[in-house]
Formats: sequence, C-alpha cells, structure tokens
Amino acid sequence: MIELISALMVGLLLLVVLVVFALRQGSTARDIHASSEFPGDPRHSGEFEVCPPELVARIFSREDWALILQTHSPSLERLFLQERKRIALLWVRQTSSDIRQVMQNHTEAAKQAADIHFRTELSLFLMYIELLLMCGTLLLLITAVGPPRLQRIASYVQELSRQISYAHEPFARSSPGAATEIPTSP
Amino acid sequence: MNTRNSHETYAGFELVPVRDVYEDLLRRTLSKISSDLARLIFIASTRDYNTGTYHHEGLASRFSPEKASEALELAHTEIFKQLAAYSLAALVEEIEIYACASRESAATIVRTWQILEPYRVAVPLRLNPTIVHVFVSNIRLALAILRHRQNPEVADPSAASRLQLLGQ
Repeated sequence: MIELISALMVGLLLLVVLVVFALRQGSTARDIHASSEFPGDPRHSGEFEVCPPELVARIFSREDWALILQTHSPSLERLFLQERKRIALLWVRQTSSDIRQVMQNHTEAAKQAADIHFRTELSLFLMYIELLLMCGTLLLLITAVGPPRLQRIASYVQELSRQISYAHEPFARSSPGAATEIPTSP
Repeated sequence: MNTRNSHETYAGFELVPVRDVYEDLLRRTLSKISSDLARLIFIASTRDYNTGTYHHEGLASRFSPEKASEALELAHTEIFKQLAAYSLAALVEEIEIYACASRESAATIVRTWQILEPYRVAVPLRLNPTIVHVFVSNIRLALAILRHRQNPEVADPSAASRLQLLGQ
C-alpha cells in the first residue's frame, strides 16, 4: 500500500514538473519570437499561422535521417541532428505558446458567452493539460533521443493542438476580438 | 481578395480575383521555369527590397500593378511552403537542377551559397517563423550533402569551404 502511494506521489510530482516545464517553455517561445532573425517573425506580420502537418512530419523525418546515414559522414550526422533538434525544439515551444494564447483567448471569450457547456469546457481543459504534458515530454525526448525517433508523438501533438484550436473556433468567431485570434489550419 | 464581377473596371483594368491572376502567372511564366527552387528565386527577385511589394511588367499590364503584386506574393508564399516541406533528397535534386540550368558549376554554386546564404533573401514577409527556419535549415543541410558528394574527403562539408573562402 505504501509503495502504491509512493508511486502515485512520484507520478503526481512528475506531472507537476512537466506542466511547469511546459508553461515555462511557452514564455521562452515568446522570447524566441522576439529575437527571431527572419521576416516570418510575427512581430512583422502581426499574425500567427499554425504549422502545417507535412512540415511537422519533415522536422521529425526518418527518411531524411536515412539519407544522412547513407553518406557515412559523422560531421553530416552531427550537423543534421543539431539542425533538426533546434528546429524541433522551436516548433514545440511555438506550439505550446500558441495554444496557451488560444486558451487565454478562449477563457476571455467564455466569460462573456451565454451558453457554456460544462462537459465541453472540461474536455477542452483536459486536452489542454494533455498537450502541455506532451509538449514537456517531447522537449525532454528531443534532447535525449533526437527528432527522427519521435515522429508519432510529434504528429499526436500536432493533431491535439489542431483539435484545441478547432474547439475554440466558435468562440473566436463570436467574440468581439475575433480578428486578432490565432487562425487554424484545416 | 477581390471577388467582384470581372466586367467591372478600375483605372482601365478589369477587376478579377487574385486567384485568376495567380493562375495566369502559373500558366504563362512559372510553368516555363525548370524547378521549384528556380521559381522561388525568380519570384523573390520581383520583390522590391525597400517596400516588400512585387513587380511584374507583363502581369501588371494584363491586370493591374496591385493585383500582380498580390498574385506574386501568393505564389511566393505557396512555393516557399512547398519547398520547406521537401525531403532532403528532393531538395538536393532541386539544387542540382538549378545548378545545371545556370552557367556556373555546381561546386561554385554550392560554395558560394554556403558562404553568402543568398536563399535567405527568398523568404516571404508574412509567414510562420517555424516554416522559415525549416526552409533555411534544410537548404543548409542539402548544400552540405552536395558538398560532401563533390568532395567526400572534406571533414566538415558544412563549414570547411566557408572558412577557407572567408580567410582569403
């Protein structure tokens, strides 16, 4: 019994650490946006655009890794892993940050909405927590094992973020600040 | 995007949706260019670096300068997104096709691109920063693969040529 309680406590602690980690990564993502070297920076455009699934598949591509392995060049392997890790971490942080923004907008919109469905809101909140946990886990795994082995988890995170954005869409359309909401990709 | 009736006119130009202008650009101009990378470089070259607006004489005379600029911007974004999602193998092939179509040797192009990184100029103005980072990173990797194929004994195909030339 004591062992079970200990395991539960450790699990809970790990959960809290991951949530805190994911939340902190969100604020780091804003710092990254603020110091971005490219014109795609939202500071210039004033808008966000969700990353398309095919691009996420590319970042975590095993096919590209296989091509690099064929060269038998340790320096190319190093360069590839270094580049892909950097991009993968950027994507996870951006996703985490964007979804936090979506949820903030959603909370504001929900406060003014007349018909709130408790079950829908609860399910959205649980999806949000799951996404933050997945982002935290992905951040750790990218650093530990590298992006080419994480394609499935990355696709899951992408799909989850898309679902949350979709769930928020009806609120975004009906709220007065709808024009500033984050758009979603199909 | 304008969706009004195509019989309406403004300043002597027929008002047509940007999508129609874009289709015209694809059919008459872009389809004659050999690769997506060359198309991207061509479209980026029609952009004014000071204002970010695009200019194309033929398209502007057929439609209007504004519509031509919007269509070029749309084409720029579309082709950039496509290239960003290309596999490394496909991107390497794109660079090879581009090099074949130019008058310079592939080795010279790879070396110069590794130093100057001119492909950064081909980035559209309004785009998700992650897409831009993926594109730049993939081009960098594709160039390193080509450099390795051209000269397998080079220990570091990503930076060796760069350091040599910067030291000259």
